[in-house]
Amino acid sequence: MREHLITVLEDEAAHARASIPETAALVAARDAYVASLRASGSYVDGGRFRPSSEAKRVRREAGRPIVVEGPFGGEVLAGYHYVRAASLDEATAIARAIPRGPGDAVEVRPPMKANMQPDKDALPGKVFALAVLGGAANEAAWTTLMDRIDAETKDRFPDAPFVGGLRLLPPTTGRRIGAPKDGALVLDGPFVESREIIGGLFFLRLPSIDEAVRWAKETAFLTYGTLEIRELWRA
Amino acid sequence: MTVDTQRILRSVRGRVVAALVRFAGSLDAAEEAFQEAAVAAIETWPEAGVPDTPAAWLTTAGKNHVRDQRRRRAVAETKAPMLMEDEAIEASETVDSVRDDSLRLIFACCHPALPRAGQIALTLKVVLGFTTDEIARAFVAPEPTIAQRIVRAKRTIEDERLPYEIPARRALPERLEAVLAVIYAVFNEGYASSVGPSLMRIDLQAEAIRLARLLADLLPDRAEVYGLLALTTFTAARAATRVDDEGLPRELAAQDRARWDRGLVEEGLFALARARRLGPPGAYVLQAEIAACHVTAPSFEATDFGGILAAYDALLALTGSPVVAMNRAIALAHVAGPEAGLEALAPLEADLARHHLFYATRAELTRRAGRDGRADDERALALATNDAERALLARRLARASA
Repeated sequence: MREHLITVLEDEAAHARASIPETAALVAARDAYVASLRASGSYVDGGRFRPSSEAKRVRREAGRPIVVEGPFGGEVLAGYHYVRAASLDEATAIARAIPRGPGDAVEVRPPMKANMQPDKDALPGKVFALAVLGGAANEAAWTTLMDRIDAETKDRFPDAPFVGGLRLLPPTTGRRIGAPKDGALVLDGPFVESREIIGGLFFLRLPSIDEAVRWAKETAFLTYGTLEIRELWRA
Repeated sequence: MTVDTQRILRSVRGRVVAALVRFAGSLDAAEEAFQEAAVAAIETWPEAGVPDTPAAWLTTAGKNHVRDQRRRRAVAETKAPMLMEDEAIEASETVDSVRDDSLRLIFACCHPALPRAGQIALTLKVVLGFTTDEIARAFVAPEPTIAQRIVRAKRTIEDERLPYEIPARRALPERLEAVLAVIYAVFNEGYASSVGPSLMRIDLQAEAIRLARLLADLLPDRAEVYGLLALTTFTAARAATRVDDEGLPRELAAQDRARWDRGLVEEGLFALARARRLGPPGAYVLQAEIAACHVTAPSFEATDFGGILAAYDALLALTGSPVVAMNRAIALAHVAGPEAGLEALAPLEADLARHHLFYATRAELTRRAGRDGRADDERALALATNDAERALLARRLARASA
């Protein structure tokens, strides 16, 4: 058994056009899905993020941190499931069953190392997910990038607000299940190409997104990559 | 004063007063300082423009007023209470990661040393800037009674030197019921405004939802907190369609469901799902269940009235309220027909004889049963006090008589 991170990448604009009954049906289906994951024993952790309109990305340009306000177009990180599975195939089967909209894709990635803490949403205050994003021309360059970030940030988490996280293996070890409207095709990694690929995810407990941004601006994560900051949505 | 300035003053009032309390040391002094700052704002903003951070501007102006007062009355300096230094309060922060002056002040106003009615009246007055007249109308009580409640509550706070803080975690539950009631009262006042020309006050609805969200962050394990958040978001989601072009309330069946706010409904669904997992449903969760049945139905006809009836049954068992029993009878009429609804209404008349909605409901069910409901329409019209509701009843009566 090994653990896998499944990220859900949603077409937010399509969801915004959905009717309320459609939305309600999807919310109920997702609830039932998580309940079945828990019952099956494969559930380790999971969560959904508040809309990207409330999110921010922080990166560095010419040595200075810049903040990009949400919403982000295209595929938007909407949530994650962290599951135990016997193999990548089994994790892919778990991911394939996630209830989702016609334009939503899913990625399955094994972690390189992880310290995920379940039930973060039971803690008072807000919990923010910080996704480490890196863009690179090819997989080797991407891996070098993530190694550098890892080396720069090792043990640099302040103890108090850190509530778990992980670093992922390179995208070649993962899979992507495309949007149902395009036939939900399963592709092996890499899927680097033009977009920024998630290399890790960690969680901090902070009073507001402004403080998460302030924290992010001063970290070594920004030396090479981008941090996307998303509030965990209690559901 | 422009509407804009008025709206801003109203929406930041709680935060500014809360910040000033810590500086001025008493509620009365803080309210006075806010009034002075508001006057300064009204004088300067129209020409100089609204500052980027109106709350900070008002807090500074209020503090300046307090300093002036102190200088004028040097005695006050010696009396400077324990609450004067902001730093001292920040250091004694008791609740993890939630900082909000309005919420802090609400918890202070809901101190268990105060009676419930005093807690609510004080919060509405101090945090939300209601006048005693508005509070009196919202709670159907004489104005002098409300004024007295507020004075007594303030005196208790001053005498006992109760701190303006979110209490320690273990002390939260004993205040929670009152805090929920206050936020709900604020939301309701926004939803069915008892004063003013319009039926709704969107600013109050938004403030109530903001506070419910903060409370949900503060107490993530309390089902009723999430029930309240769900109830307020579901209800606010329908705000745009609640009144017609003439400003009269529009019946649910006639509302354009495509215009309901999908984002707020989604937030409510998440909150309700969490509330269901957290424990047996209380009054807010049950009301949220009812609101969810309405708001997620594809059409009025396709509404899950069976689910609504079940939630009303549970709510009635919990509260024993005749108003709940009346609403249950309406749900029953949808499930089992108007005669069943009328039968359930019959024993409630004694309790609700002064309630215009009882007669309006009975008139409607009588009509649906194929009989003449005008006698009850007239009784409802005689009892109604809200202009918009009176106009609606008059229109209905005219239609029935045509």
